[in-house]
Amino acid sequence: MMKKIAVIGAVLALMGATACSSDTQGKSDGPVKLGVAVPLSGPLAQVGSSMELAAKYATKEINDAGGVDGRKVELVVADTTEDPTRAGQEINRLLTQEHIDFLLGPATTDMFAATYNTVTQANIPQLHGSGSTDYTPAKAPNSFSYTASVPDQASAMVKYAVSKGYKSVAVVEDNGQYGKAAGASLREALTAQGIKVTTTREYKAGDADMTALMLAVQKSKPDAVMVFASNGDDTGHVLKAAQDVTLNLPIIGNYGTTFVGPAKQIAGDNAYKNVVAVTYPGVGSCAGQKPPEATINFENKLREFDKDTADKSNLDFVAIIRDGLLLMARGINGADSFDGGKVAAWLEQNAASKSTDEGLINTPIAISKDTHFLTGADSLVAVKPGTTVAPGVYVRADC
Amino acid sequence: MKELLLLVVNGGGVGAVFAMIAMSLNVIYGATSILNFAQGYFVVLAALLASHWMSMTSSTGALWVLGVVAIALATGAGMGLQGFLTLIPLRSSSEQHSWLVTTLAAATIIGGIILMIQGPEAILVGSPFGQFTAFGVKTSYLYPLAMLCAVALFWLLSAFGRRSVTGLAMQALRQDQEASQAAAVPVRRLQMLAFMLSGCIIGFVGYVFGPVLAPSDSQGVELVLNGFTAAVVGGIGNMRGALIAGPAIGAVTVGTNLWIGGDYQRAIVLGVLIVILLVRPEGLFGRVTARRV
Repeated sequence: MMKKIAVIGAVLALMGATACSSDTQGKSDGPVKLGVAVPLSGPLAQVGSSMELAAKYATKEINDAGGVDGRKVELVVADTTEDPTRAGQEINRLLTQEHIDFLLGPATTDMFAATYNTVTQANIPQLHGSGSTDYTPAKAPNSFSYTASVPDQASAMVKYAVSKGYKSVAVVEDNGQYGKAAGASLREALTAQGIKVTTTREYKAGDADMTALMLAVQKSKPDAVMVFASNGDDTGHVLKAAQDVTLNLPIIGNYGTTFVGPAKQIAGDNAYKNVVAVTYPGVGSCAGQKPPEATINFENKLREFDKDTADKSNLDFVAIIRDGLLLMARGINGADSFDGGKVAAWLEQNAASKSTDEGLINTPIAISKDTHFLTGADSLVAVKPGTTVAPGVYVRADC
Repeated sequence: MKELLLLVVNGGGVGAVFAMIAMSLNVIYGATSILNFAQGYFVVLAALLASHWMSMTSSTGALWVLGVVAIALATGAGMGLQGFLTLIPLRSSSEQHSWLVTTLAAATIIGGIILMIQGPEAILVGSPFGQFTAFGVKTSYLYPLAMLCAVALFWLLSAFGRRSVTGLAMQALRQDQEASQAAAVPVRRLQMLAFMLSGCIIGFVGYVFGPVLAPSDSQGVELVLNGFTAAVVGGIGNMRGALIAGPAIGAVTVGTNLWIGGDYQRAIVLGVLIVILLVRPEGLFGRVTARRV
């Protein structure tokens, strides 16, 4: 009898402990844990290092403003290496061993596709970098994307091409899921506008010599070239190859092509001579107008915070992730919960309306019940990444 | 003509770099039957050293030449150390495969060191060799130089293998290690020498041809895979095979980019590898050797 009571007691204690742990997840007195699952090594390590910087900076801002749920935020960083298996393992570790309360990452559609189910089941808020519209709010209800969606970027690029009267374009994209989705969106948007696609060329991320690829583009005789890149190194190699084959055509890039620093190191200072790229609204300013003050302040503070990494990073990229994390923190505070569903509901209801008065750089925010992307197509602007009106603020090409 | 230029010069040039990596793999393989998976990472490490050397001194003139020698020797010493550690477990038996783990471990460690020092960015290596324009396409002098260097390396390694006592002893190791040991050939010392010699070649490749390789912590695998493919297609251990297979692979790579698309680059190169291995398992220039058991 005593043995039976002891067993029942142990089971009840275990159940109590389990119930207690799920109720109090993120509600203890300890710090709030922000998991950062990004590629710190591998072909997208440059992107991962900028994401980590954004997370560190946003954490400082959040903590300076009183934290989340009245507690300090601390980072737990994991390297996904841009490998789906590793990304899955690391995100599992963050969830089950580190017991994170919300998550930044992964950085790309390929990694997000491999892990979003796990994060959705864990029911925590997530900010990620997938630009694919396949992952709708119904499919990934707690996940928000800091990046502009692929169709939105494609739409903004095509809008610029139409404004310039180009009749035919060649498309250059990377060979990941992101690049393929981009190519499909671009072709669809171009066809809708009656612009002919002369050729579509995919490159392998990290390839040093893209001369053959750009020669094929040149031979297709387009009016302009559209480039959908993920990082500065690839952009640099594409632009260098364009120079090597003397491709003197306008180049319209996605926001990945605005990673100017690394691209110029590879392709030289003249590389951006013919380039116009779409990017977030906070980092574009019309010539002759005063650059946005919030962006300038952010730029200065970011450099004070970590000059070395800031110098190697792209400001618009760091800024949009920082904005996303501030919104996540506000969502948790607003919902008074770490429950992914409740935070998502609060953000869907309030993010767009509260975005203009809360120190965000890239506004307006597009989040709603229908979209979990921070930025919509109408907010994106066309800039000349090779020309700045202030440090980190590009001159707009669409004024 | 532009396409032909790219196929021959860019394709042949980058392929010649693969050929040199393949020959360096063959040097170790011939003496030890080990395929060194860290080879690509040593190329990147040499490029990193080159980048730092040139930022401190110059990317032209006598200091550049001094840098070639110093970094080739330093890489040789580094690979010698790796060889020493790799060969320790093989003292008890040369039939075991602990080298698979030790060379992969070396690759991981070197990759980590590169990441810590350089970060994730591609390493920018200076060069005294500029670009030239032909048929309206600008390309690097490093590509034709790579072809010349690959031929010179082939000639030097062939002469070393045939005309020096040490080279002949290494050839003997390749044929039968146990018989060589019985004939008082200093097996371990020669194997260490093979690692160091291979390291010197790799150091030279990383230093001189770093600018056309876009080396980064993640490129080590790519480089060793390309070198390995050239070595296998040419016939593992066969220097002449590596010399011809490397540029051929480079040309296939460029041709794929030109006419099909970069997405299929690796698939087509590996497809060629599979077809050749199906038709000639010993590689294009490899020889089937009988072994008495």
